[in-house]
Order: sequence, then C-alpha cells, then structure tokens
Amino acid sequence: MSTNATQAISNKAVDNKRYQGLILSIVAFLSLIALLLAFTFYTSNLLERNAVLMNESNRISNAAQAVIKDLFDLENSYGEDMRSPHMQTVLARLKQNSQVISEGLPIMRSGGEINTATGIVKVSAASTQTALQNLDIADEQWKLLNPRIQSYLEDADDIQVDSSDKLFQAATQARTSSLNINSALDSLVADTASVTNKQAATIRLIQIIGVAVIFTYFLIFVFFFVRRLRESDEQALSAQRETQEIMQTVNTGLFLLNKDLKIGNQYSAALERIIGTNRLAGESLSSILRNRISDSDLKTAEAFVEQLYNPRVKEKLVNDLNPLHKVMLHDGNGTSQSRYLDFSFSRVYDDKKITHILVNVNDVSDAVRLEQRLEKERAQNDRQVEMLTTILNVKPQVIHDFITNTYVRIEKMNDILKNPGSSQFELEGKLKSIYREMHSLKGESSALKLHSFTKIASEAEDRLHSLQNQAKLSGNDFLPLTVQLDELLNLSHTIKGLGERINATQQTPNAYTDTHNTLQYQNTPNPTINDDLMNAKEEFGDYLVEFGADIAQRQGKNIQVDISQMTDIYIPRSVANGVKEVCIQLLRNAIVHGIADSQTRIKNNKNPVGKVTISFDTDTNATDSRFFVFTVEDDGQGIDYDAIREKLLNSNKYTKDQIAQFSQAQLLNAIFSSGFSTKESADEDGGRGVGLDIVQERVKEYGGKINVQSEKGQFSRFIVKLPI
Amino acid sequence: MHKLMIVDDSNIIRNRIQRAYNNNEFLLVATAENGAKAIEKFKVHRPNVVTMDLTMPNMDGLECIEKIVKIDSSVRILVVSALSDKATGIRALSLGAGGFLCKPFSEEELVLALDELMSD
Repeated sequence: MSTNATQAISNKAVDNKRYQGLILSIVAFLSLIALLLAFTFYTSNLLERNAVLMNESNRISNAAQAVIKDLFDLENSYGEDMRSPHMQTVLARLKQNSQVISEGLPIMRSGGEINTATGIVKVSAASTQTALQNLDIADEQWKLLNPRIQSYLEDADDIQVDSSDKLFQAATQARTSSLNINSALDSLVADTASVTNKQAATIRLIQIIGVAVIFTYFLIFVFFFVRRLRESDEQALSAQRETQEIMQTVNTGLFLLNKDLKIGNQYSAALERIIGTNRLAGESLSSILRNRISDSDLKTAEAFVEQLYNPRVKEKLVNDLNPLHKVMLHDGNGTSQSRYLDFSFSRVYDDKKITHILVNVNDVSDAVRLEQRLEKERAQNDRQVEMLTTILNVKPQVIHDFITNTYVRIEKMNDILKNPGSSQFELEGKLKSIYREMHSLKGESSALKLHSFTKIASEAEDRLHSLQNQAKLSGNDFLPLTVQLDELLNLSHTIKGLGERINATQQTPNAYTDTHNTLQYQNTPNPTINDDLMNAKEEFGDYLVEFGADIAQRQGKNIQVDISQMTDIYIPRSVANGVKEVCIQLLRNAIVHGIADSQTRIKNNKNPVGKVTISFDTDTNATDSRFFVFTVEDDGQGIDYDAIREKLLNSNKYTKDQIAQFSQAQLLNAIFSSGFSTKESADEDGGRGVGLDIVQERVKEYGGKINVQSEKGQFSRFIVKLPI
Repeated sequence: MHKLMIVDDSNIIRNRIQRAYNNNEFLLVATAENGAKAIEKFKVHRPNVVTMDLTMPNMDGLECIEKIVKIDSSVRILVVSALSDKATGIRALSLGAGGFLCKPFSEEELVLALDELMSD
C-alpha cells in the first residue's frame, strides 16, 4: 500500500510541474504583449514629440511671416497716426510675434515649455543634425533681424521721434532674414516629417512582426497545451479504466473508509459478494455490520478505526488490536454455515496526512474451518499419541482390563439411562449409580494417564454434580450424558484398536522379548492356575506408583508410594478388578485427604515426604485362604472427626445434638456415603465425595469387609478383605 | 538518557523490568504499585517513559494513563499487561499509550517493546 501513497505524491509533483510550465508560458505570453505595448507607447511618444516640434516650427515660421508682413504694412502706412487702433494692433502683433520667435527658437534647440493659445505645450529639443543646422540658420537670421525690430519698436510709439529709418532698416533686413528663417524652418519641418515617416514605417513593421510573433506563440501554446491536456486526459482515462478493471476483477473486497466509517464510491465488485450487501458506496460500515457481528466487536471496531486515524498512534500497534481479524459473521440465516471475514486496514497518506483507510476484506471461512479442523485433528492426534504412550508403557493386560471394564461400565450406565425412572427417588438413585460408575472410570483412566479420557469423564462428572445440586430432576436432564458416553465409547474403541495393532506388531518373533511379559511364578505352588493369578507388582503396582506420583504432583504434594511388599504377590483374577479399583480410590483418598503438603508436615515435625504403603496379606497366597486381604496406609493427619462433624452440620441433614452424639463408627459410615467430601473444591482428583462411596459399594459387591484404623496426626489405615 | 518509571502491582514484574532495563539508556527514577501512587511520583520525578500495568488496586492503569498524559503529553507509556480484550487495548491507545507488552514476557520482548516505544 505504501507504493500507492508514493504514487499519489509523485502524481502531485507531476501536476505541479505541469502547472508550472503552463504558468511560465502564460507569463512569457503576457510579457511579449507588454513589451509590444511598451514599444508602441514609446514610439507614439516619439512621433508626438516630432509633431510638437513640427507644430512649433510652423508657429515660429508663421510668426516670422507675420513679422515681415507687419513690417511692410508699417512701412507702407508710415506717417499715419500711430495711435489709431489699427496701427496699435499691428505694433502689438509685431511685438508679440517677435517675442514668439525669440522664445521659440531656443526652446526648439534645447527643449522646454511654451505658452500657446491652447495651453502649455512641452517641446522636446531638436535632435537631428539637419534640424540643428536649420535652427542655427534661423537663429542667425533672427539675431540680425530682431535687434532692428526691437530698436524700431522702442521708438514707434513716440511720435516725436522719427522712426522711419529704423523701420526701413528692419523691413529691409526682414526681406532677407524672414525668408531665410522660413526656408530654414520649412526644411526643418520637412526633415522632421521625413524622419517621422521613417520612424512610423519602422514602428508599423515592428508592430506587425510583434503581433505575428505573439500570434504564433499563442498558436504554439494552445497546440502544445491542448496536446498535453489530451495526453493527461487519456492517461487519467486509462488509469481509471485500469482501476475499474482491477476493482471488477480482484477477488478480495477493497474499499476506502473515511473518518465517519463511510465506504468510498469506488470499491471492488467482490466486496458486495463478500459482505453480502449491494450498493455499498457511501454506506456506513457500522450499519452494515450491525447485528452481524457482536455489539461489543462493533463498538471496538469503531474505536479501532478512530485510532487508525489518530496520527500519534503507530499503525502497526493499532493493527495488532484489529477486532475484525477473522471475525465471525452471523448472516441472520440460521441454516447456512456461519462465515468468517478477515478485514485488514492500511492507512492512506497524502503528504503525511492520513486521508483514508484502505480496507481489504476476505472471506476466510474455508481457511478458518480448515484451521479448526486441523486443530481438532491435532487434538485427536495428541490424544492418540497419549494413548499410544499409555499403551506402550502399560502392560497389555492392564489396557485390556481397562477397556473391558470401561465397556462394562458404559453399558451399565447406558442401561441405567435407558431405564425409565419417574419418581424423584428413582431418578436420584439413577444419578448416584451413574456418578459412581463415571467416577470409577475417571479414576482408572487417570491412573493410566489417559488424560483426554479423564477430561471427558470429569466433564460428565461436573454435569452430574450440578444435577445433584438440582432441586428437581427429570429424565431429560440425563440426555446430554449420552453424548459424553458416546465420546468415551469412541475413545475406548480407538484405544482398543491401537492396542490390538501394536500387539499384532509385537507378536512378530523378535519384536517383543520383554521378560516382564512372561509371568514368573517362583512362589506359585501350582503353575497350572497361573492364568487365574495376577502378578501384583508387575501388572498393577508399578502403575499405582506412577498414578500416585501424578496425583501428588497435581495436588502439589510430595509423596512416596511404597509397594515394596508387593513383590511376588499374586492376586486371584476373580478379585483383581475389585482390588485394583479399591486400591486406586484408597490411594487417591490418601493423597488428596490423608496427607498434608510438605510445609504443614514440617510444621508438625514430620518427614516432608508423605508415604502411602500398599501391602497385601501374604497368607492369601495360601490356597486354602478364603479371603484376599490388602491394606492402604498413609502417614498423614489421620481421620479428622471434627471436620466430618462440621461437614455433616453444614449438610443440614442432622441437628447439632445428633452429630455430637455420633460415634466414631457412625462418623466413618458418613465418609463412606455418597456425596461426602471434606475437600473445599472439586478437581480431577477429588472433592465430589464419591471415592469412598465407591470403595464401600465395591467391597459390598464382592461381599467383603472394610476396616478403618486411624490415629489423629499419625496415620489412617484401610484394611480391605475380599472373599476369593 | 530516558527517565523510567515502573507502575505495576506485582513486585515480581517490577523487579523483572528493573533488571532488564536499568542500564545506560534508561535510568529508573521511580516505581509505583498502584495508579494513585504513580501520579504522585510522576509529579515529583517527571519520568519520560512509563511502563504501566492495567489492572491495579487504587486507580487502574487506564485512568492513570489518562491523568499522566494530562500532566505531560510527551510522556511515552508502555502498557505491560495480560491484555484481556482488544477493546481495552484500543482504549489505552486512545488515552495515549504508545506500546503494548503482553504478560508473560521475555526479557528480549521487553527490550524490543521499549525500543519500539522510543523509536521516532
């Protein structure tokens, strides 16, 4: 997207350059016109100056003629009364014309202002050689004539003085001088006129050339710029076409978003398909997404776009918080699969200013679903690996027993579920039975570290637990359980399948020669009954140790499970399952409830490592014994009868007085009942109060007995006797 | 050298940040375990870089960012928090935060986040 931004900036630079050229051309054009106008102004000024000079020359020439005429007039009328108006007029005129000539000639030479009848006229100095020569002639003649005229005029008014001589001299001089002045001035005028004509011709020529140049320039200018304009129009048009083609063809949703979250006018055709709405130009993104994504996501998206427009916030930083990354779209149509859209946002800059946000939308439903499927498959693979690990680490017989037990339990639970119960009492019984089975299942799978299996069982237990707390039960409450039973059944099939496949490979001659697999019967008096005996340590003890370590780790306790006494003990198959199950529950009980954490133990002056000893009565190996006896003992805090009393009190089943009168045996009975636990909260290992309930149930099933011994702060010992 | 203040209610996190960045480039001038104390110390020490937890007792991080920025808008604030949702992040940005570091973080991540915060 940064390339687009650069493009925009360079476009602007190109535009500026183009306009610069245009402006320069117009300036040059106007300068040309101004130059021509200035030239015209200057030359017309020059022509005017010549005209003034010619006028002045004519005026002086006229004055000179008038002077000679008046002098002749005066000569002819000599003797007449000089005071007559006519003579006065003539004299005045002579005087005035003389003055005109006296003043005019120097001004024509060196320039100046002259008062005429029409006003003040500015006269420029004569400049040509001929003009100056002629002026010299006129000057010279006037210097000869003027003194005589002045001398006559001094006496003319005085009748006492005879002025005829002076008049005669003036007139005589005037005859030649006036003529010379006139001809000199005439030639000056003619010369100036010819200069003027020449100048005028030159001016016209220059003006014509100037106009021609300007016109040509104008033509070139228009041609050039029209062409440039057309080129850029074509470019713009083809760019627009390209943009349109891109927008029509690109299969992602592209659009520009303004500050008010309005979609720009140009957007890719794919956008309508992806969003599922037509005519998006100018529409608000919020209103399009409203009710299709969650309200909180929408609100976050609005705040997000606002921050995208915030120049102080780094783009990458905001984008990390994109709430529309792989957002699920509810299309309002319940039947269709929900779709996932991925919106990505980029700032569009124009000269460091954020003008728009470019949004790219993709339908990533397939990708997301694939991801989900992969995730599911990965989880499945993990489960299989976990199962494989278990299968490879545990005796095949143990796995086989587990699977067999699980099938039996699931079938049992299914039967219970199928059995319609109507009364609350029946339903509660149903719940309790299923709870027990599920708990056993969980215990066994947990012992085998089949965590996925344990997780499902634990979830089912959670559900059952919440049902236990429910005031009124109905048959429908159990329905969701069938799903979990199904999952458990599927997992069992998988484990069974895996186990069989592995065993099949292990059957090959040299694949599996583990001595563990071969039962050793040194102590067995009669090898023929081998199949009826289970090697306690090999098939069971080792995994009890691991199971114990597992629980201890989860519970944050430091515990050692002692099975040293189990070596060379064989358990009759008839009670093996019962022994296993009861052992698991009692071991769990010992670790979770019996033994405190290391710190508490240190405080109580005990070894920080707690110890659970599982031992078997060796006498049971004697064939004539009627019972199989085993003991689970921990060196923990002993049975806390006060805690049991408190718990019973909290259960509101008994009054305070009743509880106070309970014997220890009665209290022990209570801890063996369903739903009782002194643990504060439930987890994978305990707290729901089912463990000891199962122990009692199994022992009852086998027709056995259980004996509890305990000393507060010292130990708890559970001795179980099962008839063979 | 930048003057650094660490605001976090967890002693462990404060120590971790301090260990990672009390070096030539940054000088630790104050630490605070809640927003109210942070404001007090900010006024006294005037740091130009602040690492800020969001969930704290006695004035949370968002409110604290808002107040600190009001005192000095040029301060750079790195939010160090287990960001619960994007909306909170965007809110922090709008108030003037300049970067994020999600808990838990490694030392390198912290160094990177601080470098990024101080860039440009």
